[in-house]
Amino acid sequence: MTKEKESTIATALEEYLEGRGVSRRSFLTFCSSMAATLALPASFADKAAAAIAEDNRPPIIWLEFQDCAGDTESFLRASRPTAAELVLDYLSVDYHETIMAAAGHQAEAARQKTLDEWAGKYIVIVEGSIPTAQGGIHCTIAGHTAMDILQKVGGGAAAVIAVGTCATSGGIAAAHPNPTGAVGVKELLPNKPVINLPGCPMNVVNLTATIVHYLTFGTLPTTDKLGRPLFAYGKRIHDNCERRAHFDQGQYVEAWGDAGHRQGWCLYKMGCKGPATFHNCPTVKWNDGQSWPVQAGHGCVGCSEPGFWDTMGPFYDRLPNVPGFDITDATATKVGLGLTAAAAAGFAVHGVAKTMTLRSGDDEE
Amino acid sequence: MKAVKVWEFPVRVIHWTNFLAIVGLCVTGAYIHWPYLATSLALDAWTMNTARFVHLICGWTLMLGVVGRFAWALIGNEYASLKSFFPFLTVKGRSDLVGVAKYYSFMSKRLPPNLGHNALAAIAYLVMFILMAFQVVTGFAMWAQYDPSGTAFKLFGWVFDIASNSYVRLAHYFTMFVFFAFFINHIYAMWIADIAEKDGTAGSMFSGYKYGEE
Repeated sequence: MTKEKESTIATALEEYLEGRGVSRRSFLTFCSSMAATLALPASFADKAAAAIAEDNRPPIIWLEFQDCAGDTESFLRASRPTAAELVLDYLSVDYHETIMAAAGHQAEAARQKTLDEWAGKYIVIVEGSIPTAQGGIHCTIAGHTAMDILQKVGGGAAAVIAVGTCATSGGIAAAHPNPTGAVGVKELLPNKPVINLPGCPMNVVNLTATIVHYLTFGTLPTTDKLGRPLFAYGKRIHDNCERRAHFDQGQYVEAWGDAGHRQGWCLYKMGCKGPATFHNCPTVKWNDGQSWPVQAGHGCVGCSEPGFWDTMGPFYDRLPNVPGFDITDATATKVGLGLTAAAAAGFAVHGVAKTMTLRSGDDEE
Repeated sequence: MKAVKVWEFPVRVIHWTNFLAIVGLCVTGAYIHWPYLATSLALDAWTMNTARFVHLICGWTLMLGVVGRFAWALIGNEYASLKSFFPFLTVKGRSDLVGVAKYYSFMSKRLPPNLGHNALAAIAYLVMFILMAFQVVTGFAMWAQYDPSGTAFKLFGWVFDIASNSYVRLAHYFTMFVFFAFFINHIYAMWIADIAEKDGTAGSMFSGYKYGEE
């Protein structure tokens, strides 16, 4: 970057920040934290600052389907308040059912306007699962099914970001027996670039970082097979956990509130799913980096893993029960010990019978 | 009856390394599933770390055992051969199978003459080797999760496309109990063959020789 361009950007940025009552310091702090979240070198902060200062913002359409607005809550409580809000405001959210002032036909018209004027350039953020049973009638907005809206709005987008576990893999609505045939976004838009930000709710830091990445580089961040950005889902909770040393040492909480729990020992035996969950909770934390579930003393429930309602439970046991047994506590240990005991008993009985035949002399040659 | 060399040296060595590895895997694996030792407050206890390290070493040993035994099945003698594990594929094997079943259900007094594995045992060992391979693959898949972009995960990560993380763990843990049940069966069948049939089975896994007609 030339000196001249640098100073132009600096000036534009100053004006921009000044007009919004944000100090340059807090803005650059925000950019640095984004660089850290994305696992990029500190020099990225300047690039991000420049990209944000340039006025090339894509409009955002935020769709809500079968959801609880939890991701919207997370979004509205963006950490690093002033600076992040600035970026998110700056993104021009043209349609968001929970926060937009417009309603009814006005709102639909605003959305249509974005679709027409920014075809192929706007970003769609989807919150909530999409029901597909009975033609998708379980969720309709303005007379259109969620399936139709997603095809129409998502189909013309530059990129789709699925936020929360519902939008990424169906979430609680898709849990067994999934009465509405709920699915995640990628299943209905297989040919679109879809970024999945699972979590219940998604962590707004990861949404902001994904958007900053897009603004800065013009591309979406690298993802794993499940479409989750590697910067946020590339490592296990267990491997970055602050209680990990207690795990390695063999120091475990045995009961809620026991001595180990009060000393912050590992929650493995309380059913923590950290060893099976990929997310950056231990590093970015929640609520402005204040805390996160394991720090607060509760095990991870694996909320960002696909189909976690069906696959990660029970919350307070190490492993799920053995499928196919019609009793509530068919743990692997009980069924396994039963199998071992049955084998021992069976062969013991056989052994007694065998010994008797040997004694009776029938077996002599 | 005369002494016949049945189990060659590599077969015997692999049998015992597999045995030791499985014992180590069960002892440490049970701890990893549910840490059962008293909590130590020593700063260098590293109990779980040690259990996981030993588990991993035993896992490597078992992997080498399974791969090595498979290789020996291709180059070893007839008693070690691959086809000895598939008695149900031949007419004689199937009739032996019926004979062994009759023997164990007291309907006949003699095992079908066979120096290697009897037909039923051969199937049990086939299942055991499949389960050992299953444990190796699922075990390394779980281990590889510490680095999803690493080589180990590229080799074994496909496991999680088939079953979710928790169910892979469940299957890996539950298979340990199948090993327990097999162990009881194995000792019992060895006892019968040795005491009732007097074919030298018990000693053969040390000496390599069994008694019978070649």
